[in-house]
Amino acid sequence: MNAAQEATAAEVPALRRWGAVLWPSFFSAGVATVVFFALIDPVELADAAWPHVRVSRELGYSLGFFGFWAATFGSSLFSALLLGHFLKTAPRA
Amino acid sequence: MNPIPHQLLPEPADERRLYAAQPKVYPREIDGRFARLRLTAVSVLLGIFYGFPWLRWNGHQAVLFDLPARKFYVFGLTFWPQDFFWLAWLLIIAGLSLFFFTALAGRLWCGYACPQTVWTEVFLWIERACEGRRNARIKLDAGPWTREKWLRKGLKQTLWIAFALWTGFTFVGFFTPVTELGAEIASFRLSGWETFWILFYGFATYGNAGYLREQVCKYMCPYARFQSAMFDRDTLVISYDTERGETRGARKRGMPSVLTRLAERAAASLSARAATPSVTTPIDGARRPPAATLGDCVDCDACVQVCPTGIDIRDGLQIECIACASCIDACDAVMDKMGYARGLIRYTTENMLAGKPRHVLRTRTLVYAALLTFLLGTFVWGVTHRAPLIVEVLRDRYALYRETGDGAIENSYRLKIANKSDHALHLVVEPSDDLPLTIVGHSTLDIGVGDVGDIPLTLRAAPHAVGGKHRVELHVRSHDGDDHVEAEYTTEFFAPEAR
Repeated sequence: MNAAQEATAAEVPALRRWGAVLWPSFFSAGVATVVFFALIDPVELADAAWPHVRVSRELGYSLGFFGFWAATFGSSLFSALLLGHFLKTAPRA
Repeated sequence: MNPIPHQLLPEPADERRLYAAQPKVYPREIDGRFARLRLTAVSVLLGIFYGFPWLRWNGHQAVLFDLPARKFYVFGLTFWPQDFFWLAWLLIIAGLSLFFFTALAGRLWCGYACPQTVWTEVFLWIERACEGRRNARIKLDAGPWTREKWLRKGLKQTLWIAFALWTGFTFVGFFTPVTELGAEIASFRLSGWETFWILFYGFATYGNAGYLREQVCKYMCPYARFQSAMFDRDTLVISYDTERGETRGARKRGMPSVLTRLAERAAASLSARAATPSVTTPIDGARRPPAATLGDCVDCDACVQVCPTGIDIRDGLQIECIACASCIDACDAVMDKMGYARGLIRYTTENMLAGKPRHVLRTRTLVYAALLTFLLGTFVWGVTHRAPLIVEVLRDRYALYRETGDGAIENSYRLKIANKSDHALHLVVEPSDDLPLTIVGHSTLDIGVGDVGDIPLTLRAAPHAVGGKHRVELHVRSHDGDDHVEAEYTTEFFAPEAR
């Protein structure tokens, strides 16, 4: 870890470091959800995948969104870890 | 080329401000040309947001994004999932417009139209109404928790939360018919997801406009990070005229503007303002440059106090500047008071500051404008020329054909017909006449506005009339009304090979 990374990890408050992971992943998950469900009807998808389970559109949209968010969150978190984003926590004042 | 002599300076601690803790910004209230322009923009945009869900159009909510039914209503237009292409097209147009207006006039979006700016403005009005003007707010925050402070803060929080909840309610009202939503709230029948989104959107508004404010522009907004790619030397930016303003400093009342002084001096054929002997009249202590070298900046800090992102525009163009023009209003007011010409801080371009002419029409803006015209044109044409009728025919999955008792051959299909027009349709279905086919049972059907009909259909061929596999076109057309609507779908008809 070089000096710049050390400085970053020490000075950035935890909330903002998590924000840098949560916010871009939330944003991309939103875009992905819109594009995906514009082309695919969640009810038809559920009928094809699990014919015995009743899935409403609202539930389908929500599952889709949180599924996408989990994926993009994982990706952002991985990038953050590779950049040494979480190696040190901010000192408490 | 000669190398430019340079030296790397160590980064001062407060320059790591990409993430450094920031002191709270207390923007001072300001009135002026641009403040009034923003007030207008904010009123119009908020009027649209809070008003549109309540408008009615042809018996439905004028603007409604009905996700469960997978249909978007925008006044007279109805968008179906098949029209998603045009939504993507619209997003491209929006993106390109942002490029175009940024190249032309800088961060217009940030200063006047961004939801972050608009809602922050409202939250600031509420804050001002409850806690007073800038100095009163600073004093209140620094002071102890008296009864008055509890009352003022409590009132502010109540209004903020109420406004945020109303915002969340309105937002969900774009997706669930707003009158139904109101009725559901009144009788405590809100569904889980409606409750979640009202609270989520309300909380996001409260947090972003009440607390995060300029932090959103500085740390969260991607546009702020790449806007410099759209800027060039002819882009309108808000800039402090360093040459005219410096050396800044307080001065005696009645001292003429540097512009007047230079003009007089030029008339007296004196060479440069720096060459004149300095006359200093110490009035209020140390930091006073010689009067004769003074520029027009009186160093009153008004431009810094009104800045919602807490920067000093006199330090030059900065990424934090959202181009709200508050500093222009503030400085103009001071210049008026001093009797100096306005525009020490003004909308200008880098080229104009350097004394060159401004080019509004240049390659960049012309290319953006041409692309934008093309995209808008195709969008309008495409949206107004969408097919009013969509027909899909699915063959029966289980049997190629069926032979009836008298030797006729029948094929079964399911017809899916979507009525995307703005009126109910009385439709007639018929096969193309190159094959001797007839329809068994009904061949007419009625489909209401926005409905999808799902109809079984059987085609019959007389004994020995048809053999093998044939393409067959199914025509669906309306026969009543002035505007004739029709669509067709090609499917297949199977019969045993002729023996």
